[in-house]
Amino acid sequence: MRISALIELLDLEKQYMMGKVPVDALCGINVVIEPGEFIAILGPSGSGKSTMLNMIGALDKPTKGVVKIEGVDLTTLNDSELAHIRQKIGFVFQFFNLIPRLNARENVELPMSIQGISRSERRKRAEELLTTVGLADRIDHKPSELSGGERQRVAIARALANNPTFLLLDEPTGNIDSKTAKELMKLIADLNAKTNTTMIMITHDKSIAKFAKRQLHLLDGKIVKEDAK
Amino acid sequence: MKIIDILSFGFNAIKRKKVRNSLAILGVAIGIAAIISLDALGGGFQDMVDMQFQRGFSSNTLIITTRGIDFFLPESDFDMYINDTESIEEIEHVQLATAQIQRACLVEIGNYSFQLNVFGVDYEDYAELYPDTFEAANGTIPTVYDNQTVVIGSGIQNPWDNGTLTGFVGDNLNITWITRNGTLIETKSYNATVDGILDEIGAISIGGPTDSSIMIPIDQAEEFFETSVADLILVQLDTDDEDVINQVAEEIEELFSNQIQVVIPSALLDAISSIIAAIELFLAAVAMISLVVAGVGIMNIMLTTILERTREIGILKSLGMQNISVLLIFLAESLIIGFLGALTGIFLGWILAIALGQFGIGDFIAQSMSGTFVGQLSIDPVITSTLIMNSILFALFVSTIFGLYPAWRASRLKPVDALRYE
Repeated sequence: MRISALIELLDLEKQYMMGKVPVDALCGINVVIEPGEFIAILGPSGSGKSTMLNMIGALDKPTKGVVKIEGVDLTTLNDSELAHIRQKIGFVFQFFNLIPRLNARENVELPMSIQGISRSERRKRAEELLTTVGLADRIDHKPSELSGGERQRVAIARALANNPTFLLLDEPTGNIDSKTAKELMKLIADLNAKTNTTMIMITHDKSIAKFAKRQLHLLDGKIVKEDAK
Repeated sequence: MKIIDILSFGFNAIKRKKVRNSLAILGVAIGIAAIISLDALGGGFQDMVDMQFQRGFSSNTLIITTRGIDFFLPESDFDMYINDTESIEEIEHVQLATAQIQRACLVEIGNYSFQLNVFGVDYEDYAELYPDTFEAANGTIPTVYDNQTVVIGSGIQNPWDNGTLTGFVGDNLNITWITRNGTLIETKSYNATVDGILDEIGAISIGGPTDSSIMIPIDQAEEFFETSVADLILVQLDTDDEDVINQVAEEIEELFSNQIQVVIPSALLDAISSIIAAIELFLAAVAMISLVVAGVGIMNIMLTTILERTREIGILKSLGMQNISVLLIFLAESLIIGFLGALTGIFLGWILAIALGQFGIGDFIAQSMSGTFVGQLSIDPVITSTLIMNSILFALFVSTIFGLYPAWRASRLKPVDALRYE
């Protein structure tokens, strides 16, 4: 018998209403993701990759099908249980989504504060994480005082704060120049290799996608191609 | 999430929008300041009235007047005469009845002159009626006297309360009375000698001595003012039993065919207290309304805040924050505004109460009641810890009520929609 996969998507469908017109964002997605994988989801805009990521991240509910994380079916959970699931997921967004009035350390502390971890402990861990992503000298800076690449590093440190079971990266290099993007991807690949943290990344950039070990190509809500290194 | 972290997150957010939140805080502060100052002054005023009446009136004294205390009845032109006291003294339980003549005169003492009430009283009877207040601090109240004697209240000697004195015992005091004689204007005046200066009373009184009273013998008043009509008759009873007092009051009214009014001090005290309570209640209602307005202000800024921070709410939810914590974070912000508003309001209200009590309200009330210069009469505001606690609780209550809906809306946002919000 096989050990249950980290993430399982079974016949996943999602329909949106754009005004009065129904739009099929996802039409029958079946994916199994094992622990430690580094997956890139590729596809043009409107292909449904963000929708798929929202489903995996417990941010949205599917119209049909099942999303299982460590064997738990998310479609059966209530708001509070979903919030609990999200505490073990690390999100990295295209637009960083840091809280502007908090400095780098406070932003990294935030998910730990939500979990009720003590001040001294989360402070220590936040500083460690910021050192890991190479921002030891930027700890007290506000997001507005950091470059795009630095902000995304803070976001990665924040995503790692609660020892997540996996990281969801939504176009992490979308707002960063290509040289910095390469460095950032090296950091992500490095984290995957060293800590064995599962990485699921959305991108439309093939040069970025090649850092991943497995690539899923999405088009019109369906997986059309799958590559593996 | 820990309460301390929720509060510090909220406080941090409030600090970011200083102007907007300061205005909301000010809104609450105005309401609380109004409540604090009103309540403190009201309490102080009540204390003052109680003190006044204890000093200025005794419970076994009745005051008979022809001038109506009741404003709604037509005024009688009925006259009481000084020797009416004799027939009043025949009533059972009456120990003493004494008449008083009262005229506004120009009084010159030293280099100063004031328009004051001059009272013609029987010194001996007066001392018996008001043993605590009709007592000389300087000089003596003469028991054997000529027409030139005068006893003055401490406020006449020390009208500004700053050490500048107008005169001393033995000094001359000129009393000028201006009246009509047919079509002519007649001016009469005479010189009196200050024989006694009363101790500071700090109270107002109907009939009794006050700090701004000038007291001359009743015989002299009769002669100088050319009248034997009494303005007041003060009656002392041998009991302070309320039933007996009411009974005697009725008998006196019957004696004068109900053309006079008998004022019972305890009843007057009750009436004034109930008027004060009614005014306080009305003003408190106004203050409450201003707090409700402040609450609407809180709701308004919280709704704006939540709209502006929709994306932040999405981020917090993506980090696994529970709905209840989102609700508490935004509720905490309203509560912090309410709390800071309460603290500011208590401070402002305190200052306002002290300022109004020191410079104005007391003088104003006393002057309107006595109709003359009374010197300074300050109200000491009464600010109790209960009042402070209640104001804080009330501000927190208002901010909870008005902060709950915006916070609830924030907590209900769907994470995916909130994150997508531009």
